[in-house]
Amino acid sequence: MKTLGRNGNKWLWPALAYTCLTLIALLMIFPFLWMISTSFKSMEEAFRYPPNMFPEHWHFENYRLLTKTLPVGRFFVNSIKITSLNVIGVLLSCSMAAFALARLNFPGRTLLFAAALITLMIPWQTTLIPVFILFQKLGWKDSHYPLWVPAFFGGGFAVFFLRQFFLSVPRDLYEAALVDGLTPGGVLFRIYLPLAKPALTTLGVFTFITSWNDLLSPLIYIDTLEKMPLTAGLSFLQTQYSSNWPIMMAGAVVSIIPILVIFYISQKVFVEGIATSGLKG
Amino acid sequence: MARVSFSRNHASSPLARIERIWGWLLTLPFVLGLLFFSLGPISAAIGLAFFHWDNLTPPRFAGLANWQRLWGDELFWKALRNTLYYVAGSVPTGIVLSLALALLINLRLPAIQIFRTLYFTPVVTSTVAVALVWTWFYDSNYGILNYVIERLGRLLGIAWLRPIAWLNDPRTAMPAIIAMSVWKGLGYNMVIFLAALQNVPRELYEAAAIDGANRFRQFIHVTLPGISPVMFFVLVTSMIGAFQVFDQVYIMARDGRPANSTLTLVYYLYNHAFRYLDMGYACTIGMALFILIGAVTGIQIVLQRKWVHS
Amino acid sequence: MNTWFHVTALALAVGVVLSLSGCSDRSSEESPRGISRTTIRYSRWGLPEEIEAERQLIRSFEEKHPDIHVVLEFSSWGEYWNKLQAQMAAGTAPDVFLLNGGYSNDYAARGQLENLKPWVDRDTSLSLEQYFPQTVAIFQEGQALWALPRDCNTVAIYYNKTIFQKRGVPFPKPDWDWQDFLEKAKACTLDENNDGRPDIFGFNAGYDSMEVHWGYWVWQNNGEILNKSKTKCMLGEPNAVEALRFYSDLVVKHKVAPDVAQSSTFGSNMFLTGRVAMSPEGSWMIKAFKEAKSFEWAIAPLPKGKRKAAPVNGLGNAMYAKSKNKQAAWEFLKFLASREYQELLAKSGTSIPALREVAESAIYLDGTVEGKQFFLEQLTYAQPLDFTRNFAKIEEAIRGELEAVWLGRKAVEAAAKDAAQAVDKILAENAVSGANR
Repeated sequence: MKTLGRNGNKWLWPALAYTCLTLIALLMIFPFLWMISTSFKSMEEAFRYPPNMFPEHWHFENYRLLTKTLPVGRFFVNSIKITSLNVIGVLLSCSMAAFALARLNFPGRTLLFAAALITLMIPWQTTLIPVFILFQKLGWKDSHYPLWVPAFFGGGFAVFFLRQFFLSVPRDLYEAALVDGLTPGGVLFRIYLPLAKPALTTLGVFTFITSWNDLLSPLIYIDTLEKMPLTAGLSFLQTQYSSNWPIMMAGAVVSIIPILVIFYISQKVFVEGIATSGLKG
Repeated sequence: MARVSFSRNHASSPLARIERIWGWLLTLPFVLGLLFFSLGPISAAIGLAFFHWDNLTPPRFAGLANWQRLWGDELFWKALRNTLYYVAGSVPTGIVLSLALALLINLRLPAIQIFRTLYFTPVVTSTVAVALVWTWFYDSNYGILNYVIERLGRLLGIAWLRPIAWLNDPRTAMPAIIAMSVWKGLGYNMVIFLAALQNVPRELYEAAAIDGANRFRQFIHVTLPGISPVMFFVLVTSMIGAFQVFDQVYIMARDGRPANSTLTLVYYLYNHAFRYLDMGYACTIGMALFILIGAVTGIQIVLQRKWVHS
Repeated sequence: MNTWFHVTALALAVGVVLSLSGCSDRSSEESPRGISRTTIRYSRWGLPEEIEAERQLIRSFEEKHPDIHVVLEFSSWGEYWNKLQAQMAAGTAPDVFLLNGGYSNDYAARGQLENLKPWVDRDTSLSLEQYFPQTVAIFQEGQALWALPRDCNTVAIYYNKTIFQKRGVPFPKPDWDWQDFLEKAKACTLDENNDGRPDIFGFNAGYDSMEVHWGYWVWQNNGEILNKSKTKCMLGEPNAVEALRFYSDLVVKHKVAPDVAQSSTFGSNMFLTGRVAMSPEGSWMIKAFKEAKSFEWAIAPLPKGKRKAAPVNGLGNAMYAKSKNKQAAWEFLKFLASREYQELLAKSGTSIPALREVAESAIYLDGTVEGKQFFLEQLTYAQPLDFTRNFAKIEEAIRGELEAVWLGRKAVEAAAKDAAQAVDKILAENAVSGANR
């Protein structure tokens, strides 16, 4: 913070930084802007060459049509339910497991860590049918359970992620707390979790996104249209032979906005971080 | 990974017992999940590599027949080469660029959070939508990219700056997909690095500054060691993810076109699993891929002891 | 500090309550009127806007059959087949489902489809003669019938009248031939800004689909894709090669058609947005093309080569072999093939109904689209693809070889011969596994 204007020129450095930031930002969001713009175009204009950045006539009916042909409100509620359960489940189950793998010494630790990695290495395409059969045997037909219950039992990616973050919290903290009489569980909940807020938030956001954007599982496990979450429900707009791009893009925009809002709000937490929370290195 | 510490000299010490109990307790849900949701399907997938299975009728034991077929299957080797090309092309570029972005948006400037959100948009945008937009960019006749290249070529009088067939040319199709994937994934690792950067205690920077280290030296001696566990995570998961690349190829280069130059292992596997009703062979490809990923990850785990600080 | 414990406890409680409450929410066995009803599941893919009409028809069916309750499982095209296979593997496929010719033989060979022949023979209220024979043929294998015909679509040339008029090119006549077609395609291709790249293509050649794009050109030239007994691929024969050369010349030599990547991305949208003068499209595209506002269009039959030929795309409704309610499923299958349901198809603009009297009535030929009758005319000589087991593999083997041709990277003859060789291998495997079963 204090060294920003270190070259004496208080304006040059920020000006340079912002130019750089803006150029990259354009590169990153150009396709997104194109999507928004297309979502307001007529079918014909969407394919015009050279393309218009701004629609000639703003076609709001793409959005209206979207809500007319599909129960978008229901989709939205389903998505909120499924994603929040996923976030809670993953954060809980994975922070416990990750802490144990990072700091506690117990038989089977290496095996468990290996197992967490192995689950990531098997392509889902090969386990789809066995998993489907398993869920059907559990009686989870046409229900939301397959979409969130597993989250409460951890996941390889999240466990690995948090383990790495817990490893970067100085070990002395753990040992000092034990000396002070805390149990390992107490250390996790009272010291590690508060310190790992940026990592937990990051993981929470990632879990939210993964679950929100999951296209495949809902389409496979759910039979009733009204039970679909948003992203999967909107994929019904894509058909075998032709796709109405403007409506598809309107659908994509609708499904992205909630994630961007969540991300924008939560980033305060990622950035405040451990360095300001009283850790003595 | 195993670290010797002050109290762990005897397995029977009270602390060792407490850690054992808590270790098992805290990992219990995860272990149950593994046993319940993962063990069955994963062992099924591994086992099926030794069976003929068409998804619909009972599996028939095949011994090593699938593996023999794999050995002689030219398309498998082609897909393997393409996959390795994809991994080599996308992982290092992705990591370097996302770390650079993370450093950039870690600056404490007003309104920086807006930039963070903007940089994150490609991650959340649906792959289908993104792939459509990029296919448009790459279009050999109407694409913006060729438009720019042609203009530049004419402007600067450079003869070799001519429109490229991108997705139509076996030489450029895979690089084009790699570029799109790197772009799409940047924000993801950027956020992970950002969180990691926050985890590096500021006191360490202050100490280094007092010792007279400049920005660059601080980065090398404080930042990199501080984020190394996370760097390890990013490296391992990016590799695992890249080896299993599917979505982009599925949408942008249906059927590995052109000339199978974008046919990846998981795409090839998918075709056998669901289109050709040949799940046994699909699982064989999956296991070959699993062995490959496992080996690469194993090497990374061994090597990390030399560079990851924990 | 204790908040974490609270959150944990709360979350677990929520989880438990939700799981418990969910366990008891499967009912729907009793009807509102208290009659005990048989529930059957019916699955299809389609456009979201078709759902409501489909549900209305189901209600109408349920009124006539108060003892049957039909649950509509509306699936997205993207995951329909994967899901169906997973359900079959788990033994929980829907009682009635939509099926195409490509998968029919594969599923039947693996015992997933109920043979409907005995049902048809037993039931006097249904006569297959009333349907287009091709759609029956698609699902017929020896003495077995694997699905009841639903629709009978074909492919014709949609042309943009506005472009033709602007370029002073006469509209296609019903008896036009390849030469005439090529001249029109050339005359309509237009490079407005002279940058060497056409802004409007004469013909929207597609390359992905044997059925919609290139297959019938082979037939028109007296060529074949597979021989009659489906034991040998005939693409390497001179007539087939000549047809493939004509088709690939459209893009490689005459440059009157978009390239492979462009065509695969934009597909039918090229026509819808006025960037091609002619496009080979299915009869199911009428509804989508009604969105075109800035130009006039009409339909012409496929041009004839040495003979007239056209493809048939027919979907059917199948019964799951392990269905527990076959009688109810049969009643519903009959309904889907009945006049009432077929009339809905006729009105939808997404299909030609398989029931001839509806297709040939004013309900389908409603006078809204110029040249719609050519579809029906083509159906007098149109033929389905040579569906056989492992058809997806066969298509893929051919597609890989021909792609090099469309890209101008491989000689037609060599590619066609290699494709034929690869397909012959698959057909030989089919013969062996057929003997084993």
